Amino acid sequence: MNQDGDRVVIAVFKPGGMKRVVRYCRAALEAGWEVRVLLADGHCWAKRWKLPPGVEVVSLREAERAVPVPWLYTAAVERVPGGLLHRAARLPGPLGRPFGFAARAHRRVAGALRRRVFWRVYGWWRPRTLRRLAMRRTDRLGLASARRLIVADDAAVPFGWRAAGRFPELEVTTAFDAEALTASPTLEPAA
Amino acid sequence: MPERTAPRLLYLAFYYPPSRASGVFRAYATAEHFVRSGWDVTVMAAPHRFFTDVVKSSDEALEARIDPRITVERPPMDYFSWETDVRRFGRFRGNAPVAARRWYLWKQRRVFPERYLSWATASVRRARRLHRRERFDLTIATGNPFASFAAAWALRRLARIPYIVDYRDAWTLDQFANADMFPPDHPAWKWERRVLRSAEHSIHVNEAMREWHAERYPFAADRMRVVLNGWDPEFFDPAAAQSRPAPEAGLRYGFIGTITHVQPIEEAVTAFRLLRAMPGRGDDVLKVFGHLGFFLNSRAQLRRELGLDEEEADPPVEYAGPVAKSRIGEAYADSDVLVLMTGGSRYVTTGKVFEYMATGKPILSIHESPCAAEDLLRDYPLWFRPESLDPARIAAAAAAAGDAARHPDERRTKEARAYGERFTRARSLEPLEAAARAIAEAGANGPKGAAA
Repeated sequence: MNQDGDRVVIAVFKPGGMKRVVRYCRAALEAGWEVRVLLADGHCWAKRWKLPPGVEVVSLREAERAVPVPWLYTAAVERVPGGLLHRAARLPGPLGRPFGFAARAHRRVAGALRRRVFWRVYGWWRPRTLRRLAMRRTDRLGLASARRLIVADDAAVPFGWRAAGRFPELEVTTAFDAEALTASPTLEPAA
Repeated sequence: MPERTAPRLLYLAFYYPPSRASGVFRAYATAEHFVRSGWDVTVMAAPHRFFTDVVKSSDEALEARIDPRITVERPPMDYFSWETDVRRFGRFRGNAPVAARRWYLWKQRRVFPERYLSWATASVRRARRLHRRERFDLTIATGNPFASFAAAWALRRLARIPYIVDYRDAWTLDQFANADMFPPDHPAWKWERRVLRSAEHSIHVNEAMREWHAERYPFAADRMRVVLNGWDPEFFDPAAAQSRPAPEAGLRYGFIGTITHVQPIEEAVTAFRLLRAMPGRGDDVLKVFGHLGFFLNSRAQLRRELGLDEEEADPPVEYAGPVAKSRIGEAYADSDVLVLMTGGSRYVTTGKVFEYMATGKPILSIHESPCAAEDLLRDYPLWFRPESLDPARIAAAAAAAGDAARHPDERRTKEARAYGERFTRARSLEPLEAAARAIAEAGANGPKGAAA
């Protein structure tokens, strides 16, 4: 069992590795670590992937939504035209029918645009945006007193890299090394 | 400029001591053999950090044995795919990880499809610098990694140094599945064709491998040769391996080497349980001498598969741990029967079979058939091979091998030892050295050089 107070923070900015994160969280909790997970979760990953109870989740969802570029994009391309078309579709009789068709077409086109255009462009910039948001939450994550920060995906690398510079004692790694959970030097009794 | 007396060899061997990879002894022995044969040898090897931080195991004792006349260069490499410490990421990867990964993958796709590419390019740069000071007469590149072949090819193009490629492993052949390693449009095919077209010779570890390559690349078939592995008298004295089973004690079936997932571990463990259930064999044991896997993270699973973590009063497998090469004779002396356990492939010989045969002890095969080692063992008088990997059949063969160890026939033992002693590493390497010398003497405009 690990000494109380050892904390591991996991930064997950893409959903691809969530299964591995959940497995690691379980192992870390069993080994007596305190676990905090930083999620840039568009779709409530913590619930969907069933992070074990005992894991403290810090979410960047709302903060990322408020970032000007994605906010403006979703407003201009998705929310405003989508809202107008939906309202128009509710017009009575034959007036609403073409708007209903247009609303469905808009949804499909907007979805394709989001995947094929928006994410391809924003994906390059997103790691740096999330780094800025995450660095404002280092206190909530307790990085100053954490033992290890695990960077779960490429998008979280800029945050890990910056955190490594700010907290010289922090171990910042991309490895989910279960053996390192038990091989903590704090296990050894003081001489 | 002083007159040169020794031909100059550039040897591209990523896995060179202190590596603990299974093929390292071929690389080590090749460099030693050439330097003893009067060559001036420069080796391009992996940086030490690769062994300490990536593989996390190394053999410093072997490194200390390198002949001081050999110059060892360790060109730098990037650790992109292995690096887990974010602090060590450069500014580019730290700030733009997506772009950094795309750049890395682009290089793999467009330049050379292997993650050792950076080591190969650094080797080429350094070799050219050394070549400008004093020219190399020949490059020998050993793979894997096969980026060393590409480096040899590039040096042929840039500096007109003729080269030989040594296939320790197959590149485009999956030796265990007997299937292509890559899809047809993979750049590895183009590279292999290119490398073999310009090579003076390509060297293979057994006839099956040579045949496979000759069939694929008929234009280079006449330049393909077999250089078997062998046992090294420098590390292993067959006389020190001799022992007799203790009359009252159980027999010791020794496996000496590295345990990996390709070996039929489950069948072997079950077979030894069955063997021990036979009358008078309750104390027989399978002793494992060596490492469990090449990488740190595979150890735990291999321990489980061998049943080493089970709380059994009298387990059938005993793990004796790694043995230094200098003390390998003790492991052999501590074994009454030698167990040859491999993945089994007509393309895989396994280097250990040569030492096994040199001991003159009964050898029990536990592997799929056909296996390239069988070609060598067929004429070994004390070879015991089960008809299949059925644990009951393995147990029966083990019992027969045990009987041969318990009641040895001196004539057969003598014959076995005499047969095994033929396969020394030096004897295998002699034809290679002779061919290399001929190329060096012919110069860059030699038989193949002018055409490439």
